[in-house]
Amino acid sequence: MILIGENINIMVKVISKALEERNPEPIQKLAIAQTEAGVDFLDLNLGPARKDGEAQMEWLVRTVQEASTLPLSLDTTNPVAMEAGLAICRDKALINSASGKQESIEKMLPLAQKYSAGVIISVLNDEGIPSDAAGRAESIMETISTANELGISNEDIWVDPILLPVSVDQQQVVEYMEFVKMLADLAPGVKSTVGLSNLSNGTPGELRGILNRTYMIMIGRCGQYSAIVDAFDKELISINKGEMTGITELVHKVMDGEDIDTASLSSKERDYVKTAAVIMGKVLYSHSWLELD
Amino acid sequence: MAYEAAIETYSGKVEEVTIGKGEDSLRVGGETTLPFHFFEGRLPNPPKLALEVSHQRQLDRSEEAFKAEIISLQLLGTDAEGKDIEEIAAMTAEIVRSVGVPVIVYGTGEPERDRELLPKVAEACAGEGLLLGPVKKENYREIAAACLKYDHRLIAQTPLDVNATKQLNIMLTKEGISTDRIVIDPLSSALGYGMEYSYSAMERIKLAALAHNDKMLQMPIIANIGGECWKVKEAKEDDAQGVLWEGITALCFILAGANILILRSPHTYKLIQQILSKHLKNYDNREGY
Repeated sequence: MILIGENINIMVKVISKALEERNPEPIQKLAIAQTEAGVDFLDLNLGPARKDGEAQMEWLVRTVQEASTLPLSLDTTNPVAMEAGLAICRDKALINSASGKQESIEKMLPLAQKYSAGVIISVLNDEGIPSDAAGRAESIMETISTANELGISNEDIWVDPILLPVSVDQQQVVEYMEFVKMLADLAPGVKSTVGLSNLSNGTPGELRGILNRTYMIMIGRCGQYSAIVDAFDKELISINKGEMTGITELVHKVMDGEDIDTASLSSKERDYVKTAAVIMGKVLYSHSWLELD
Repeated sequence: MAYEAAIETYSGKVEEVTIGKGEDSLRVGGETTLPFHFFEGRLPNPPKLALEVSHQRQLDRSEEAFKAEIISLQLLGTDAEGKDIEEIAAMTAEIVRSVGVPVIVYGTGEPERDRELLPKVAEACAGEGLLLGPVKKENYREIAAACLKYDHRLIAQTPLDVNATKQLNIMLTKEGISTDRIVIDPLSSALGYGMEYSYSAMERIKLAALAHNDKMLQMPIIANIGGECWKVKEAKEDDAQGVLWEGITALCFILAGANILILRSPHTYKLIQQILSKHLKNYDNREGY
C-alpha cells in the first residue's frame, strides 16, 4: 500500500508554532524522520488556513522540499492556499482533498487539471456522508464523471470513501470495506486513499495503533491503494512491507469467518484476532476490547 | 403451503438481578427473548414499576408511593435543603427500613457529590439490597467498593452510547461487581424530547445481549422517566395530559426492553400496571404458546 505520512499537521502544537514563527527546523526534522521511516508521500496539513493560507502553504512546501525529496500531498480546504502550494511543487503533487460538494467541484477540482496533480476526492457531497456502500458509490460516480469532464483522468483520482471511528459506528467501518471492493469495477483505474487514523479517533491513545494496523491489513485485502498514516508506527510500516505475514494471515482468517484456536496464539496474535473481530462488527466495540475473552 | 411462524432463537440471556432483601425482594430481568416475545423464549419477570419519592415528601406515609412494588428515592435537591451527607444517609436508611419493599436510590447525579454521598448511603443501608446509582465513569470505583462491602446493586449510567455502556460494565466487573448486580441506565428522555434516541439505545443493548450474547450488556435496564416526563411543558400544562405523557413514554420503553421503570405519578403507575396485568399470565409460561 502507498503510505502518506500524516505527521506534519497544523493541529500539532509544534507545527503550528513553527509555521507562525516561520521556523523551518521542527518541520524539516519531521519531514526527514518520516522520509526515513519509509513513507511514500508527505501530507502537509494546514486545515482551513483561513488566515495567511497562501503564504503559509508556500513557505511550508519550500521548507519541506528542502529537507525531503518525497512527493507531497497538500492538505487544506482553502483553494487559494492549495494553488499557491501546487505552483511550486517539484513533483506531481496530490490535492487533499476535493469532494462532491458544489464549492469543491468549482474551486478545487479545476486545480488538479491545471497543475496535472493527483486529487483525493471524498464521497462527501452536499447531502453529507452517504451511509452505506451503495450511497458512497452513487455519490462518487457523479463526482468522478464531473472530474473526467474537466479533463482529469481516472488515474489521477484517489477516492476517499471516508472512514468513521469504530467507536462511533461499527457498521460504517464494514460498509467502507464493501465499497472499496466495488471501486475497481465502478471506476476502473481510480486509486483510493483514507485517513487511516480516523478509525481509532476516540479510542485511548495506547490502543489506537493496533486498530489502525489491523484495518490497514483488512482494507488492503479489499483492494485499498493507499492510506494516510502515522509514519512513526513501526509495526504498521513493517506490516506494509510484508514482514509480518503470520499476523496478516490471521486477520484474513477472521475476515473469512474462520474459527481460530486462540489458545495456541501469542498474546500479540490474539490481540490482532480480537481487533479484527471488533472491526468486522462481530463484537460490540468498547475501549477494553482487548481484555475480553 | 402451511404458514410457518418466524421464530428466532437467541444465544444470550439477560441476567436476573435481585433487589431488596429476604421475603420483600424482587427479581428483574432473566429473559431469553425480546419484550413480549412469549412465543420465542422465557420472560420470567414482568417489567417492574417503581414510584419515585423525593426527600421533601418523604415523611408523608399516606402517600400512594408507599403502596408501590418498588420505591425510588431521589436525592436530587437534598443539597439545596442544606442537609449534610450523614443526615441524608440516615434519613434514607430510615425510609428504606420502614417501607417493606425494595428501594432504588438515585443520588444527585453530580459525580463528585455522589462519590461521597452514595457510599455513605450504602453504609447506612447495609444489607438492604438497594439498587443504588447513578454510577458513572467518573465515580464508579468508590461507589462499587461501597456496594460490594454493604451488599447492594448498582445502576450504571452512560449517556445514550452503547459502547460506553459496555465499557462501564467492564470496568465495574473489574472492580469485582458480578454481572448479576448491575442494572443499566442508558438515560431515558421523555416523549417528544428525544425519546427515540433512548429507545434506540435500549433496543441496541437488548439485541447485543440476546442476539450477540454480549456478556457485558446482559444486565437488566432501568428507565428513570418520572422526572423527565413531568418537566416537559405538556405535563406542566395539564395533569391528565402529564399522566398520558408519562404513560406513553413508559410503554415505549417497556417495548424497547426496559426491565424497571421509575414513574412519578401514581395514576400512571396504575395505568401501566393495568396494561401489564393483561399480559402477566404470559410471563414465564412458554408452553402457553
